[in-house]
Amino acid sequence: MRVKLNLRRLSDEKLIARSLHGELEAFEALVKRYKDEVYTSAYFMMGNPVDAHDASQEVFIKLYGSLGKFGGRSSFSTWLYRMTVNTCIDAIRSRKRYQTRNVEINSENENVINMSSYANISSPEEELLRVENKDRIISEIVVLEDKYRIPLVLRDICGYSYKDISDFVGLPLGTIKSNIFRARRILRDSLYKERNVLLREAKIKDDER
Amino acid sequence: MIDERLPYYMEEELPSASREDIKRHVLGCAECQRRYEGLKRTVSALKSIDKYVMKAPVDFAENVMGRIMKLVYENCSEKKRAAFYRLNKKNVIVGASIVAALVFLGIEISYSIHKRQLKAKLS
Repeated sequence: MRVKLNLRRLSDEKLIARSLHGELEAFEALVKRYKDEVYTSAYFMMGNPVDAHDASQEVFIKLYGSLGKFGGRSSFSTWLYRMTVNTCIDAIRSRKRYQTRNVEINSENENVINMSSYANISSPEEELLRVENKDRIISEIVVLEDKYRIPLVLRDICGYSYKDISDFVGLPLGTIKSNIFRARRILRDSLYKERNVLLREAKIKDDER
Repeated sequence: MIDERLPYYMEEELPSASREDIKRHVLGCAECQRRYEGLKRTVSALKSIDKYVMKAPVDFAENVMGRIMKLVYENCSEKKRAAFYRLNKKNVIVGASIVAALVFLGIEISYSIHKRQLKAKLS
């Protein structure tokens, strides 16, 4: 018990060194330290808990095999997140759902935005979007298509640059940007739309009374 | 359509002339102001999502370590594997002897207690 407590206090680098000497408990301490962060990124990238679980397990298995390659040039967490992103992208590729073709935004086909739903809002208080509700935003993120969700998550949740994302995904910078921008609008509209529908329903009920 | 260009406007990805156009339009159009506001709120909500908002399953670390131990075992040489087996065998023998000793001790103790009780009853 005392040994475990001590391990938890050790730095990433010390745990890596111990793991490289074959101390499995040290590696387990690393797994415990980072499991939630890796799982969260994997969850957003994969879009469902089952794939997220598989991918994050894979990340730590890979990590164990490549600990010796950690050069210490970046922080360990940065290195681990890159590994997570790459593992997830590989998993998605093998899932064959990631569409690698360039996505041209066709303005004529863009009917996502319903003008009337915006016009229906009357007071400025009502139009305020309650995006503070994390569960709702999470459930809207995971239903986005892979080609929108992945770059959006990498940019707005993980904080990678457009250039990094373009390298990760292997798509041109322009495509990445337009997919992220489109994703933000889709997300905004799904968050707004639902709320507007609710507002309208509430209004109808009030009128009926 | 203005809305398509709003995210570019927000990230200052537009040439200054079209940036000015959008700015002028948004200022005069309540509709686009709402959309722009919504976009900003959506992005800031995304950015405020915790890095560990989701929790890995409780047995996650255990499962990972189980898989790693299996891999380590499978990848080690025959000699090491034999040593591993011997170590395990030794552990089994030691464990079994401890259990046997404890059982024996238990019997001894209960027997002596019983004997003492019997003695007390008789006297």
